[in-house]
Amino acid sequence: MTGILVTGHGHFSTGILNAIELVAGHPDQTIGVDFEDGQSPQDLKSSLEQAMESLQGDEVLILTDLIGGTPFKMGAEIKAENPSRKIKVIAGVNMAVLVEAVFSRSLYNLEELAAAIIRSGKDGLADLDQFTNDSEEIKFEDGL
Amino acid sequence: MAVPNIVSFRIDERLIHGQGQLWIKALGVNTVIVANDSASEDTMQQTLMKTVVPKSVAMRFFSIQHTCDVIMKASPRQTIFIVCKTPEDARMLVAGGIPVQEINVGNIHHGPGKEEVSKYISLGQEDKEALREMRDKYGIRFNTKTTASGDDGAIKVDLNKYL
Repeated sequence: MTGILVTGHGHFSTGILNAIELVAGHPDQTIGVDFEDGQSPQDLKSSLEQAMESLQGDEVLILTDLIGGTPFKMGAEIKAENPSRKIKVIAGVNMAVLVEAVFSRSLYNLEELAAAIIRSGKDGLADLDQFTNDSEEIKFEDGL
Repeated sequence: MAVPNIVSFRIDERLIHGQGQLWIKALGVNTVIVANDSASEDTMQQTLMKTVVPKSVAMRFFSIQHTCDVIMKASPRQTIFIVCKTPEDARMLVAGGIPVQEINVGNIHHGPGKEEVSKYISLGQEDKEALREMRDKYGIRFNTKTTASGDDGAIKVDLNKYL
């Protein structure tokens, strides 16, 4: 099973993992690493390295909060320094991404999984008003 | 007239909700019928349910009576997931001629005087009577799968033991 490592500023990662438990139960092979006030990037990187060791399997999805932020950058370094493992580093994670990752990781290889969660994350960012427009409603001319 | 292709019939107090999208995805249906009198007249409820269903899936919000009236007119191209709120609504749908043999009993919320059957299902007298009638008069079978593809490890419950 693809391991999932979630990391972000403050309590982003433990917070979003706490939220996911309400929707999907406690996911296996999933670890959150917080980047807290007062920590250096190097502190975060060590914590991420430790977390990587406790994840089994070749494939790891590193999910981060913000493109260009320290958690994302440390994820990039981890990826560069671990060529023996297949690692994808994704930024801009939201609940839709995490739900898709947890439910779909058994169906896809790492490359496909990354594409699927990015699609879900984009679809999951939406304006209520876009759903009130009925013009695009699907019709069955010969049915209901 | 062809029999409508009802892939799944579910009782869920929340109708279509966040996890409902997973049912629709796993079943691969192209039509969802929400059979509920109040939702059929409430555009806000409808909008909120549409938000979790892919745009490629046709959503229909019908009253119980209207569902019974039109179900036989479904196109052979339509693969249908019907969801209703309570066992009593399900009983009215079955009595009204919805062609179904098996019903998935999903969420029935806990309430005063209800017997807790599982984490997700609590049965009051009215619920039991409706389920009993569907079983005895119409030969309906029940399952308590919590996801469309199987279950997430939840203990299987034989509802017949409680009826």
